[in-house]
Amino acid sequence: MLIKLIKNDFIQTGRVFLWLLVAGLAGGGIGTLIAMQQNLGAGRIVIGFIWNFLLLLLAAVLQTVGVVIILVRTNRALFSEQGYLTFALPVSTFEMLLSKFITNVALLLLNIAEAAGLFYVVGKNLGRLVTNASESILEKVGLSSMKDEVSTMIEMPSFSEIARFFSFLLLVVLIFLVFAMMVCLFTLTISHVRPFQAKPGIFIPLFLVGTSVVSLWLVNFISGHAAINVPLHFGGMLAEGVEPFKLNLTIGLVPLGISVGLFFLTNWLLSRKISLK
Amino acid sequence: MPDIIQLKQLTKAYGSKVVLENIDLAIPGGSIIGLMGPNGCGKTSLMKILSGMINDYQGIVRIDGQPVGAYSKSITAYLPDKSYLPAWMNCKQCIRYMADFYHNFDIDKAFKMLKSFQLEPTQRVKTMSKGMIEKLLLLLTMCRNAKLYVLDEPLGGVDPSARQFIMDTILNNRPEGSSILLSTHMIYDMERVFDLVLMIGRKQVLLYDTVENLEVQGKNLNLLFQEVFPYIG
Repeated sequence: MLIKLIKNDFIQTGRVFLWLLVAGLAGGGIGTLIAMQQNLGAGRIVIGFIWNFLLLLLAAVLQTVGVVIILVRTNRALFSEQGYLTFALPVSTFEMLLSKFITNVALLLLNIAEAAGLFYVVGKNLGRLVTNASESILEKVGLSSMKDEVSTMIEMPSFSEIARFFSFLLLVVLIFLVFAMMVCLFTLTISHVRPFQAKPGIFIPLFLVGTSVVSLWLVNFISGHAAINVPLHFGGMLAEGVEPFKLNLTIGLVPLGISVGLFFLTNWLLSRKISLK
Repeated sequence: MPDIIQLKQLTKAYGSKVVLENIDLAIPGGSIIGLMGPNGCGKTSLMKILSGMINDYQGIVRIDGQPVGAYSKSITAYLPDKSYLPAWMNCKQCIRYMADFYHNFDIDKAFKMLKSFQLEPTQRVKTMSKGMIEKLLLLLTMCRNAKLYVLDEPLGGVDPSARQFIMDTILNNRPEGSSILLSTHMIYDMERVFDLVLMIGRKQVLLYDTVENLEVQGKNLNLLFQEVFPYIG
């Protein structure tokens, strides 16, 4: 049943969501095509730069719209009239909640991967625009001396470097997504149960900030280091005397622990406190 | 037949407003039960509790001997008084969705009924009229070979010929031995099909008896309703 739930959740949310992904891919593809042309004239260079800056804007918009779509769809599926369909299904609330959680985290991960991809493509494209521009144009805009430097900059990094970077990034992003999604699902549920009734949009940011502060405080308490060390650690600038293993472990386990706690609390609320209008 | 519905000390309140209080009831399987009462008496709340849409109540509720949960939902077909279908779905997608989750959903019967209801398989819910959506919801409910059908006002707001059509659809598609709990205000039209009558009001069960017994006592449902609820009409 869980597989069926996930499949149907993907169809319901993905049918809107995937268009966003397609829009991002199409935008990135067009930007790359413009930038890959040889001996670009001034007009094409201007269009290429504008297009790639628009892609950055698109990446930001897709992130926001993607999150909003996921939250609205989840809210609608559980607590609007569509809830009569969802809660009538012969599944446990645990399975229902788990399917929403897995689907939403996977879609958000896709969304983030696309945004990261767009940033990467834009960076490469801006470099290509400079290297592929005709000498005369570069001379006119005073960039001819930069051409060789830019060519070196846009060379592909080695596979192992990319793999190391992305595996670390993926782990951090995944922990954050699991944490954020459970806070959102909990907030949606509690706002429909009581006490503030049906205004989840206002409370999601508050709950997210509140639980993040609690999470940081717990990391601080358990690891014995000031919370400021957490961003320093991620930035590779760990303060002297801080034990990386213990800090890493608490940074990973505390938000995961909070997420698991919120999962079971949400599950209890859904199975004991729901009263559809 | 064993009881299909068992309620023990069932109490439901919305904030400080109690709508059902300490209700004890056992409904035998295989019967058609008419659920009646004035507006706001708790008919819909009771149906939502039985179908798992409300779980914020006190007391014990059992369907086919089991508490409300995945099993009870698999044998209960609920028709709420509102459209719950996602607007983007078409008839075919709705049928496939139900067939995907309910092992007792008869997909062949659903497509046959779709044709007889004159509904287009590819028509989306958002382009349907209210009447068409009601037909589709009825189809999705009655194509399940359920043990218990919980139908909330299926005859509300429809013309007399549609009323007859709906009643025929319900009675002709009901599997043998199944039970139907049906709420309605159309007492005159329904009297002939009910086996049992359940009237609730003032938070309590005010009348629960077989139609046969009431007939023996020379009581007509319409008059009885006015007798039990003298403040109505």
